Amino acid sequence: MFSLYDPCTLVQAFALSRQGSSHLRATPPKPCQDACGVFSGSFRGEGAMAVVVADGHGSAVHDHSDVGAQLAVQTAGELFLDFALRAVEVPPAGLVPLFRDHFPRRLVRRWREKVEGHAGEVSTTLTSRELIGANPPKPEDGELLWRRYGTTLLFAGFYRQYMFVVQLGDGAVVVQRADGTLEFPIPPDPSHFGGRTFSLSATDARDHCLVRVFSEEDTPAVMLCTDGVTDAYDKPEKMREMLRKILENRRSHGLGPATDLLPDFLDSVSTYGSGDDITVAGLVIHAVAVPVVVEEEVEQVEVVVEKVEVEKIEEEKIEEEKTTELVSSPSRSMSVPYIPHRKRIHESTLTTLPNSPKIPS
Amino acid sequence: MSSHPTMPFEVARRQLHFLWLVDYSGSMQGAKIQALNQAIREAIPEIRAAVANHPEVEVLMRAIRFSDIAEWHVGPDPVPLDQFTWPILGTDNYTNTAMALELAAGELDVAKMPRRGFPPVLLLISDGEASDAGRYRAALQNLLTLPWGKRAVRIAIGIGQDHQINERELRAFNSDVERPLLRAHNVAELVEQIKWASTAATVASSAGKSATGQATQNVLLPQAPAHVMLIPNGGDVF
Repeated sequence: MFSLYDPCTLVQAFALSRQGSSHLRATPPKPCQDACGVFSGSFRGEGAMAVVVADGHGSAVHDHSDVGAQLAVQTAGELFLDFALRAVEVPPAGLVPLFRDHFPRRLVRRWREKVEGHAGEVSTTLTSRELIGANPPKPEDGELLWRRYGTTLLFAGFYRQYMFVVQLGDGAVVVQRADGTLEFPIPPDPSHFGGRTFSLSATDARDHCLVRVFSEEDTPAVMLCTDGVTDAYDKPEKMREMLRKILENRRSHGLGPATDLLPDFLDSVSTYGSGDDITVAGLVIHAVAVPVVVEEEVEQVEVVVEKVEVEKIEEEKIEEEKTTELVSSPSRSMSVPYIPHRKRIHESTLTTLPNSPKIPS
Repeated sequence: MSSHPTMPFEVARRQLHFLWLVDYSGSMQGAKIQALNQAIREAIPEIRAAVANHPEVEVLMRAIRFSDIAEWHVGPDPVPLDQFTWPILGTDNYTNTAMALELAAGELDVAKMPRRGFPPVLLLISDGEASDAGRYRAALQNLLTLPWGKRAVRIAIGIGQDHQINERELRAFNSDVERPLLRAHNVAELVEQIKWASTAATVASSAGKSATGQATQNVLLPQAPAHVMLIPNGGDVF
């Protein structure tokens, strides 16, 4: 489980991958071929945060797809921080065109470079050579090599009031709108069924890299799911309800308790639904107060008020309980955060209990 | 508001559609049709056992029989595996394999199949060549233009001596045309091959996936073990 709170942007992120039930039952057990990560950085006081999810294809011809998925996550995270650095002085109107131009092309190219680098490294060691067979892949093998690392990719990144979303292959992106409703902004591709998907390893990967950009006000939360989640639900409404509940739990109980449930829950979803590796990630901007559409909304407001009253006590608790893993992935050092509006402090403090760092006041 | 966070649990198993395509032409009379009936009846509990450890998979089964015409032997509504029984099949005249493929193709339309399902399994068992070879080729071509037809795990079993089987025709049906054709020369081989093919295809379909636009388009099957391919002294020789 990766979770991260960025006091600079008041953004929360989490990501969790679980090994699929069919992978655990296989003889020998197959590794988890999903990967995920949370990335953050700060550039002249502007925070950037991203969650990335990848699903290695997992069949016999994609025998390094678990590594391919990890490399895809790493590539996308690093690339986004690189984009944020390049965009520091770009006016707001230029951000989206820059991202569209910068991200997909470099994503594919850099992933391939990492794959070729990995193939070159493992072919020099006896153990790895045994693992990858008598004919270790060579960088010049091109697509034949990339295919062994084949993976999908889902990305969501927040920077300067924009939520950037990228999807390559199956799985789902779900966005929360300002009124609390959840939508699928990228419909499933008609060709994605029976285990088929677009792949980062294909020569035309860039053509299938779909980019969507939302404003912070319109889209305060994005969730990413691999097909281990989407295949477990026979109706989109049921999956939407599950994701809505994660957001509601985060708001009502804090990120820690909300995500503590997820490992066992996702294991059950895999066991009785998809059988596949399973990953959920989320990026939530809670500087903007978003009413999650719930049945007990009035009761929830009362709880919020109560928590504001005991703010100082809660902050002390947070300080004591700050032992869980908060930052998991490559993260650039943060600059001195700006002190947000008081209301924002309350809002963020409330929603990050108990696993968040103390917010400077 | 509840004091502890909870999660709704409304997941659904993924469907795997299994279609038997079974020849009951006149040449199947005698030991062949008896062995076929026995083999399928014995295969059902083995498939159940194979998927018992896969609670995420819901196998739904149907059967098409073909002689002069092709028609539903079990179907058209799919039957859950735990309720599936095999009605004894007799024999009739010709070998209208083409019509069986046409009937199967009609059920593999994207609109009729669940998008989140596993690739369907089609197991074709025949002891001869199609009565109308041209129509057979056209029916197979049509099947392979359907997304689910193309993605299906397709295995053919030829019954009888090598010179009696149109190997080229049956191999063209296989999803892996490079694999040697399963040939049942006697009762024991037919029983073992039907049991192996039906369970291996079911298990293979429910695992792994491939990337669109790349060379590997289908589920990979394991190699058939030697004891399935050749059983000397395996009862009545066809």
